[in-house]
Amino acid sequence: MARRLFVTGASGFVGGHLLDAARDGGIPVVALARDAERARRLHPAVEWVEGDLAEPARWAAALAPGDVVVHLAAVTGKAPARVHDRVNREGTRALLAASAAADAAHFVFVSSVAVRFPEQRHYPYAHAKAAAERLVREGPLPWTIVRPTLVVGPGAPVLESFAMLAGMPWTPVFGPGNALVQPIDGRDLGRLLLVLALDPPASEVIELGGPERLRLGDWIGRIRAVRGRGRPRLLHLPLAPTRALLAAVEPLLLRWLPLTAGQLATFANDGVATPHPFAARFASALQPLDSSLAAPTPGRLPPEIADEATLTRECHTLTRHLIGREAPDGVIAGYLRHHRERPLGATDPFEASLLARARRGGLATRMADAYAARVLPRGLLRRKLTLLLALLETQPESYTAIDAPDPGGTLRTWLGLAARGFGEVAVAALALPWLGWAHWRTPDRHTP
Amino acid sequence: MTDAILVVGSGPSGVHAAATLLARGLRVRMLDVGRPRPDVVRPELSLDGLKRELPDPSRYFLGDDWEALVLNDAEGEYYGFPPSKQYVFANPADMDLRIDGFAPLFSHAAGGLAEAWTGGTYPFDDRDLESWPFGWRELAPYYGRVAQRIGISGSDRDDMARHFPVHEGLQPPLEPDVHSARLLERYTRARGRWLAQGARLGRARVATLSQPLGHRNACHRSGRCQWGCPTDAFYTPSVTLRECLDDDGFTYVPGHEVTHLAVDTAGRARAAIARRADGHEERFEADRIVLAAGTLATARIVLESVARSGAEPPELDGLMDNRQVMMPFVNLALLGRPFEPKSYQYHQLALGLDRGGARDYVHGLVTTLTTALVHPIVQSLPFSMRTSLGVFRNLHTALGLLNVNFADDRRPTNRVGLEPGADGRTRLAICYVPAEDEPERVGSGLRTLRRLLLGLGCIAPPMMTRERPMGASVHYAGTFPMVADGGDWTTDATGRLRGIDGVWLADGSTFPTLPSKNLTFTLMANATRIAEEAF
Repeated sequence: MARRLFVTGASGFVGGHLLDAARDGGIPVVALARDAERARRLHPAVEWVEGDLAEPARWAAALAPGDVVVHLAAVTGKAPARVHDRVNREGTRALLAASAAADAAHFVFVSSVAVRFPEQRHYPYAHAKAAAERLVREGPLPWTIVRPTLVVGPGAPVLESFAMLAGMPWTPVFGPGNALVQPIDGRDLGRLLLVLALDPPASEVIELGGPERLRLGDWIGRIRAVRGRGRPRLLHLPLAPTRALLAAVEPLLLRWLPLTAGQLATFANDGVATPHPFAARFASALQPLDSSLAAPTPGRLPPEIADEATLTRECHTLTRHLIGREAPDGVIAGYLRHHRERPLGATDPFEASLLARARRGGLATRMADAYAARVLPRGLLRRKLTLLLALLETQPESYTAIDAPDPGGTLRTWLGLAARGFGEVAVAALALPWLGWAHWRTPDRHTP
Repeated sequence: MTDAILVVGSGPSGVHAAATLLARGLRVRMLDVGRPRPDVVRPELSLDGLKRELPDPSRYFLGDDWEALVLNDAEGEYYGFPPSKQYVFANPADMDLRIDGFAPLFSHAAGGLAEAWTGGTYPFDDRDLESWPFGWRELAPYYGRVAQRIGISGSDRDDMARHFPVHEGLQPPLEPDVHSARLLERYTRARGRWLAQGARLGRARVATLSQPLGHRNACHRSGRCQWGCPTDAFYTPSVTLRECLDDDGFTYVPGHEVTHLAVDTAGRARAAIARRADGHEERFEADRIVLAAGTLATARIVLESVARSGAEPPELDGLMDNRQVMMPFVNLALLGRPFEPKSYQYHQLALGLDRGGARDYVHGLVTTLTTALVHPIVQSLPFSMRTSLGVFRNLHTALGLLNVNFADDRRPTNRVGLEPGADGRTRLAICYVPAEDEPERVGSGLRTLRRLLLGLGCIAPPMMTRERPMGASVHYAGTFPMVADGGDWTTDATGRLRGIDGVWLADGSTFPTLPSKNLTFTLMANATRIAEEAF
């Protein structure tokens, strides 16, 4: 009988690809998620168990003798050291104990090549993962440890961070940019993890990388090329002082930093996989790098479900927000038609909550708009506002409100622009900490 | 009907070759995919009239399928083509290509890609034609004939006339809009500094009527240019195609995509083989075939013909395209001014930056953005949508766009070849590598232009300037260059192809260099010249 998988972190990027591979292979899966209902909408065929790694009481009963446990859940990005320790080390400890108690057959732990980076300053993620690897190796169950390199593929969070850097007019590169990367596609990683999970336990560490090794500077150039931009202009910044500076401000500003001191380890270390016979077997079947660098298809999360009354109210509120009056009938009709024909999906779990705030009107809408502009510029709320603008500019009752400048002369115009600038800064100053806090507390925001 | 000359393609080259042959009393049969332009919606209305009077204007402007709605997650090059022009670029789903460093556009529309052009008609001067087998004097009469056929307006005496030799049939320039007039006025004051940099500004030459021509009326400023001129005051090749259709010597065979030519053992083309949409192949006998399908499609037909004749198809080199950079700017003096929707929408001013050699002349087109959809622009501003809209409303009239074009030359790295594709068919493989000195050439050109704009009271923020990918300017040329004494896969001065007898190339394939001035006018003039001299 086919082995059953017990997967943690299944609602994350790699987890999603593992579930896809398991589904294609007809392998039954039980998966742990902190928000099972949301996860179920993405992968309805999977048996979901709700719970946090730290609360084994809620999910331990779902483990069965003979299960293969694939442990993907982790905090990877911007989080303080204590969170890395709690989730990545202690979470692994709890899962190991529960798996052993349930008599699981094989424990597959997904770690990271960062674990063996020689240069790990300010990198709590690497420290916690290394500690977790030790727990697995010394633990009671037959094991396999997988260390992927940089995980890319459409929608991969790490790729999008790099794409953001690569999208700047001057791309900051910390240090000389000679460190090597060997990005692996999440789709490949998902398939390879499934093979490893179903193979007998390897009792060794297997590092998995992609088809190409390239220097960071070239890597950024490739992202730009695939996304239709010109050659990058690299702005070399000193690595060590930047890391020290980031490490110093992280405790306060973590949410708004585009990257952390720890993540800069990528610029200081070669992130390539040590060759392994298992990886060699599949080398020719890997996705070509360029296909892994495409921009994500938006709406990876399921489309929102909203009734026409809610959408009509939303349309009025957002129209008042944009042009200070009610939405004309033609705009509402277009708004509803678009939602019917092309439902918009969120890209970040926080977007539902951001939209709910935007629907309240007044200052709440302004704050949501200002927050979305900076943190989720391609998110659901932004796309709704853009759709609305496109409708407003093409309808008889509203197009002049999009075209007409403010009344008054040049001086009034300049004063008006200045007032708008101040208003924008003031609202953003309110919105960023307030909504940033709510965003930070949204579950599942940083599974890998 | 085998005495008819077979012309493949109805783009600017094809229709002007055909019109010239017909005028000489020769018979022409034109093979074309020829997707027709949809009927013009309510031609009597202005742009704002459409917004007021159509039952659902959003559907007209954004498309039945939201084709022209640009949401924040859009990727790739934004061309801003409205739904009413989608037919120009709609390609068959089975088109198979391998591209590297090049993002080509194709068209199966009657009239070709130029159905969606912006009307720039700039004759090449002697310096532009330096490496060509003929000069301005030989080409000038054909520019004049094309101008009389299509109607071109522009100035023959301002500063830019130095770069655009004057041919016959030039109509007076269109009346400039407020923004363009203001820029010209500032230019007269800053002129000394401009000339010191080798730069000039003047009226654009455009294929838009300022006076009636034949059955066509002068531009009446409906503001609808981008959605398709409702009155044909703005010229597109389908106008000439319609005129050809009135000629008894002309047979138009739409719905046929020529895949290759049947070549006999003596190396002579005997017929064109065309595929219909239903997959059926048809053979059209002809002993004189003019390929004017556009540089990439013509290359494909020739290569496929060689492959079908059993020989190894060559790999063509020297593919060219103009690098294009979009430089948006704000004219500070116009901040907060009201906005004029009833105006001519394409570029009204042209700019030249002369750095010596033909390859160093940079050609710019100044468009004062007015009626383009605003939502794609507003979402790109770095503020909340509410603030962005508030800022944009006051910026709208002050916004301008400088479209900068750089010359290209033939280099061995830029290749078009044929390789095995899906289902046992072949596919076109296109590879383009920019010239090594391009970053330096583009960078220094842009810096100078930014400074010059500042002298006119316009700010062009560097972070808004965007280099378009190669292929985006749609000025493809150079695969079968005209040379006096060349080997196979070159052409002679009459466009006759060396390598397959009985075939003439009348499109951009034969250009030995690609100056920075928009090539379409020269495509038309050169096709007219070939039709006059080759037969």
